[in-house]
Amino acid sequence: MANEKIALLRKNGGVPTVKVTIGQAQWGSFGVYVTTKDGLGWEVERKGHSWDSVEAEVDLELSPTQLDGRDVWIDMVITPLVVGDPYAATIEVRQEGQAVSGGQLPPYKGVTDRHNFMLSALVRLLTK
Amino acid sequence: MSTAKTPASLLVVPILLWCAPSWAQDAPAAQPADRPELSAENQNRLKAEAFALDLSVPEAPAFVALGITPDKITRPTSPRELGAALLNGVDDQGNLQTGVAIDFVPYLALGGDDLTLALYRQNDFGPIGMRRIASRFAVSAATSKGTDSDDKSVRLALGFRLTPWDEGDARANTTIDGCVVKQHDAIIDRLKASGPFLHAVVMRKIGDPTLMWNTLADQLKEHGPDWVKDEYKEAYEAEKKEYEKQHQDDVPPPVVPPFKIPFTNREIEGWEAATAKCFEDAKRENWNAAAWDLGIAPTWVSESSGFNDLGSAGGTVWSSLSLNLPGDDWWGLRSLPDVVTADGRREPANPFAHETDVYTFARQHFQLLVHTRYRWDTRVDDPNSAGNMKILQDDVLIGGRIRAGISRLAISAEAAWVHENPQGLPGRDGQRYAVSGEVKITDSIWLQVSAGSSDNLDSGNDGFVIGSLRYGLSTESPYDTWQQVR
Repeated sequence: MANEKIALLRKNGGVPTVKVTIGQAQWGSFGVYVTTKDGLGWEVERKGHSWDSVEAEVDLELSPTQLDGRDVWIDMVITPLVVGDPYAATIEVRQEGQAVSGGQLPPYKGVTDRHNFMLSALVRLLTK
Repeated sequence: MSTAKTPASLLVVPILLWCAPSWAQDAPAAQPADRPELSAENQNRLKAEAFALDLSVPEAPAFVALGITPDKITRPTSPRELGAALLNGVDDQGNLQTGVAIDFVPYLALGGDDLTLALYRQNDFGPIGMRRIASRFAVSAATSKGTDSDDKSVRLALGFRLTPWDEGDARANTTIDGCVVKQHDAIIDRLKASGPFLHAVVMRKIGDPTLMWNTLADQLKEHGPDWVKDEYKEAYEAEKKEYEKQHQDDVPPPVVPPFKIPFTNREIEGWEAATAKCFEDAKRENWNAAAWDLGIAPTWVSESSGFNDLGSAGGTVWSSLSLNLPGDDWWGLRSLPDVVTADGRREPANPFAHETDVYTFARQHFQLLVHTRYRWDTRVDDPNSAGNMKILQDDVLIGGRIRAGISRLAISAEAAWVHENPQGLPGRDGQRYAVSGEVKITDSIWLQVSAGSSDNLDSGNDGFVIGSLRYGLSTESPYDTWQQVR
């Protein structure tokens, strides 16, 4: 898929995590989901908010081998202080505290046009 | 201690009696005959603002310094955009371009992408958070052309605005979190429930992950659910067919869920309205929060419009301090315990849920504002010259306002004193006072009564005179006005 990024996990690199940063001091919530093997449902579900902790990083609960070939969707809702304010969201797939190859997605930036600005990101995980 | 609620009418009548025109006809005290009157500019300024003196620091000081209201304001959000905006202000020959209007917060533009709300709220030195202060420092810049077609000069202003203290900072208001999260959780759950197959179809159809759900929501609003279903059905069925072909040998065969729109237009509108209300309620609750705003705007003029020809043209500095009584935390008193919601979550208690004593009542319903403004090297008409000669003048304005808001009644009393120091001439001063009361008649109608008086703002004025009495109806609540302008 054109907008799908591919992150390469290290087989022995530990349980991967996803770090979601919703910036510009906006209110943001996110859900991180790993698809089932058949791609029709969710096997892992994690949630977070931009006001809960300085760093919002969730672990994916499965080993790199189990995650091979799976998709990770990150759904986000961003509420600006004032509609029309800029938004910024960055996503990183990490192992052992470092971004994996291809795991640093290009930042999502723009201008909000509603109180609840929705966006999603997709990462395909491959294990080497 | 119960709070006595004075019927609004009893408070409005005394104001009306005090301001009655018949009383104003009585002779006031006499003033020295040779008392110099204020410059026309300050006279007009105070008269125009008779019943709502502008005692605030402007949001974009550069625009106010030049006296302009730009139609188009550039708000750069990245270093590249800032560079482009600055380059647009000067042409290849180094001439300043007119009509430039830039307004931005440097910290958010250059480093705000990594600034989460949690980081914003972190304190660095005691209760002081440097990221919050940096986020409340704004820069504005503007250029304007000369006064007429023969005037080739270009004026430039830079503005700096800082709010080092803001008890009403919405981003630091954790009550908003508990309100906003309800909509966020509902939206995230809906998107999750739509499943990965629909996610993939919508993303492929729209092509941009930042647009996919917002576009779907807009399509629902514009065209309705039937149109959306038809629009996506073909793509969904094609994806489903492709998927089933790839998994035809799976045992058991996977079942692709039927196409279902994740939300309705009504739900979207409900979430939008509920989220907007979170901020409106917070603003209303914090209308009298203490804060300190500062602003400065130096200006320059270039007679030839060349950048190298710029010369100082004066400037303005502002300070507004709004105060209310400090809360329990400041006094070290016991704060209200958290409340437990029906679903078991702990949320901070709403400190405005009830008024337990006179102090709390006063804290929630009163605000005092003190404002100063100093301008230097303003060009004003020379009163001793018959032609269009100008002289330089410094002036200072000191003003104050006290507001009291009690649900259906809002009262404001304000005063301002201006002193001018024109070049080569004796100093002169003037004062203005105003008081207004607003009573809520219905949910959307307020009765406004206001009166003002002035001293030394009219030619031949002999002293303190009640200027005028006004009354009328307004559909705008004074709290909405107060929360927009301190």
